[in-house]
Amino acid sequence: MSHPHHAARWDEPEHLDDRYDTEFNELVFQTYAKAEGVLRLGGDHQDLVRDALHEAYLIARRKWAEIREFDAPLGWVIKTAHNVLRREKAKAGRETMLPEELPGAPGTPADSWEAEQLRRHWLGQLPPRQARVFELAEEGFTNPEIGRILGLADSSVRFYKHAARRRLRELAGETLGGDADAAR
Amino acid sequence: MRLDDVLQLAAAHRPSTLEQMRFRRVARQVLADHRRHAEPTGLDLDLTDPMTTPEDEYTRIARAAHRTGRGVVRWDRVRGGLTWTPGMAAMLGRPTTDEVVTAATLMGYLHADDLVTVTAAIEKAWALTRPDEVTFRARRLDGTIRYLHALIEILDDGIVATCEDVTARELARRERERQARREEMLCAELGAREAGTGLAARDYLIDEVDRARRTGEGIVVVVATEPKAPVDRDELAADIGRLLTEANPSRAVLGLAAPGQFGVLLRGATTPAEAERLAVTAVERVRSHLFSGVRVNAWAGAVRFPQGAEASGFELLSDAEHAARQARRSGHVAQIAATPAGRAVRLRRSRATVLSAVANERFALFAQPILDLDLNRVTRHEILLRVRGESGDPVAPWAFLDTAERIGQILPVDRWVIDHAIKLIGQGALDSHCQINVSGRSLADPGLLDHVTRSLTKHNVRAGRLTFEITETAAIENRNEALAFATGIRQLGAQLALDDFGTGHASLLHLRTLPVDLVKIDGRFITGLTRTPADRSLVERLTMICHDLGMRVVAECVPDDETAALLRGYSVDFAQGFHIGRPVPMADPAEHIELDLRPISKLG
Repeated sequence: MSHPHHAARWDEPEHLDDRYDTEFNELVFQTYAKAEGVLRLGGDHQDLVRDALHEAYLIARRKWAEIREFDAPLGWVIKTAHNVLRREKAKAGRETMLPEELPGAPGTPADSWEAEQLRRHWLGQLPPRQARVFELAEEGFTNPEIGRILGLADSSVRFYKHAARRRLRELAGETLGGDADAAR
Repeated sequence: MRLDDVLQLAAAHRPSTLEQMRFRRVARQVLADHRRHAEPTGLDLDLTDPMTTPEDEYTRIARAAHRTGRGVVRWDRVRGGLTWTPGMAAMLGRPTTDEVVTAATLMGYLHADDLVTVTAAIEKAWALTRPDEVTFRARRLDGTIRYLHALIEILDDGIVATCEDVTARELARRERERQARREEMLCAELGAREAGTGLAARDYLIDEVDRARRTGEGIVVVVATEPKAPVDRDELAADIGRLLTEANPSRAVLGLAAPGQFGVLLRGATTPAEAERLAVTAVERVRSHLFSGVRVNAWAGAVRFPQGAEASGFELLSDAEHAARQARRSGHVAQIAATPAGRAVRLRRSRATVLSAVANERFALFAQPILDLDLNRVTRHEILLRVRGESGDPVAPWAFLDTAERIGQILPVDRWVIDHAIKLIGQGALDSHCQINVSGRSLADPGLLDHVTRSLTKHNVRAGRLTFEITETAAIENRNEALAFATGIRQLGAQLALDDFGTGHASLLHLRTLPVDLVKIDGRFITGLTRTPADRSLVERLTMICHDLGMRVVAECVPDDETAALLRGYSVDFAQGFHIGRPVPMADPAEHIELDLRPISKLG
């Protein structure tokens, strides 16, 4: 696949086009689920989340020559998509929240899929900032990294992480019964 | 299983094949857009790597705010000053390039009512070194108000607040809350139903007849009933109502026209023979049924009406009532009027009915106790009129009074009540404070005040023992005359009450212009008090208003102790109703009839 007329516009050497496409495909494949998971925690309409991610990835492809050098492009993707999402919400000027339609809490999970559903269910009940900080921490990002991705102060990241964990323990206690963390 | 176990198990989860296909699709779509030279929409490119760029806290916050249409205010502990971003200034309607801002300027934008909330949020965040959020109102330079949301964060060297204009969102949220509240507070139209019997009320029936005669022909049947042994009349009425409903087609409207009298409206053409068959069937059903072991006698009257009948709903019902009376007197099962009566004939007939009731003293006075909720003691009685029906039993007078008011003959009835009540009080029938009803229509009579004065003198009763209740089913006809009566009666030392307040013609305006001492809240707001939030709110606030205006408050139709307790909580002054005490006949004290003052200790 060759598209010579693009090369001049994007300052991208023609011979790199296919290679970048391949790398980019791999980026999307490796990061999309995680980025989408973090963004969906705001309770926003999924179309809005999808459009924000699409835009972030479009920028990523356009500037792939630079972004491919980043330590972990996932952080940049989330930061950019998160900002797009917030900007679009501010522009829309109205609530874009979905109506509260939480399905009944799943019980004790039997496999990884059920565990993931339960985890999502719990996170959905947290304030979005807490949930996102927690999710990024689970993903292995450090506190300063999380602060830079979400545009938060260090003390805020520490607090949200702590608060999220406390609330999740409570929820786990409610779902899993007496032997869970809340009882400790 | 614990939280960490769940998290660990979830971490092993891998996207399904379906999901993986979705990721591939996203990548294809992005690449397609990339080739089409699609521009990302307006977000200025930020190519700093959050993983490696050593960006300080404030810079990252301000940058994110700038990209997402937010404004930032910062307090620097070291430098001791306040700065704001251009975005923040613009949000407040003050375009500026000056970064420095004074606290006084900022406070000036803050809505005075939100000052404390905002200050408290900042102080708390600072004290606990943790973020906090607050929504508040800001007054822009042009004087308009906007709702802003601030995320307050604590930095190593100060405080930063990121603000977002959430006016549209806040208004939408409020509107949603309001709608939910309205939904919760909105009550079904209970006013159309009688509380005791569950049947449609007389007013409702009359309105329905009025509607029917405008749109087509039809027939109004009145079934008059009389139990052959004493029974609970409400229960009996409900039973008869059910029986008649079963007998009639579903499109029929059934209502309680008067105590023991049922009105049925049937739309559509009927021959006189069909009308008669309908009426006779209804009577036979009632006569052949055993109501909790009691036989009930019945008669029916009916009137057919053509489309666009001149006679009003009230007049048609009156014709049917008259026919039922005629049937009873002549010993027939039913009597049918083929057409409505002439207006003059009907008026003469109705007048004669009312005046003969007065002349023949077909009345009785009853007294119902009113409980002082503060003292937990009966301190007052309302004097109630009972009309003896065809059988001679005293029945509730609402249908009779309705007729008398509608044909302008309520004054003679009111005068009778005033005379006889004062006479009985003078004889010592009651030693509590007494409340006597006067129709809003009678107030227009210039002779009423003199009439009362003479009666008081004659029976040697102190005016201070009396309260006159203005019933407001009919509008006060002559405001000036009514005011003259109200003022005069209070000069004598008697007090004035507004009856059935909150319904009919009883307007808030009266509270302002009539020298009222007492307001009686209509029972329709009271009977469902324990289960109706709207009623609780209305009764509580109405009581507050009345107290503010220097009036005391009675709740009518109090059904149980729970309601009485709620009313006491709302500082309502008095309670009245069957649960507090039923009306009992007022009699010459020589006859030694004990008033039914049931023990009320458990109300406390």
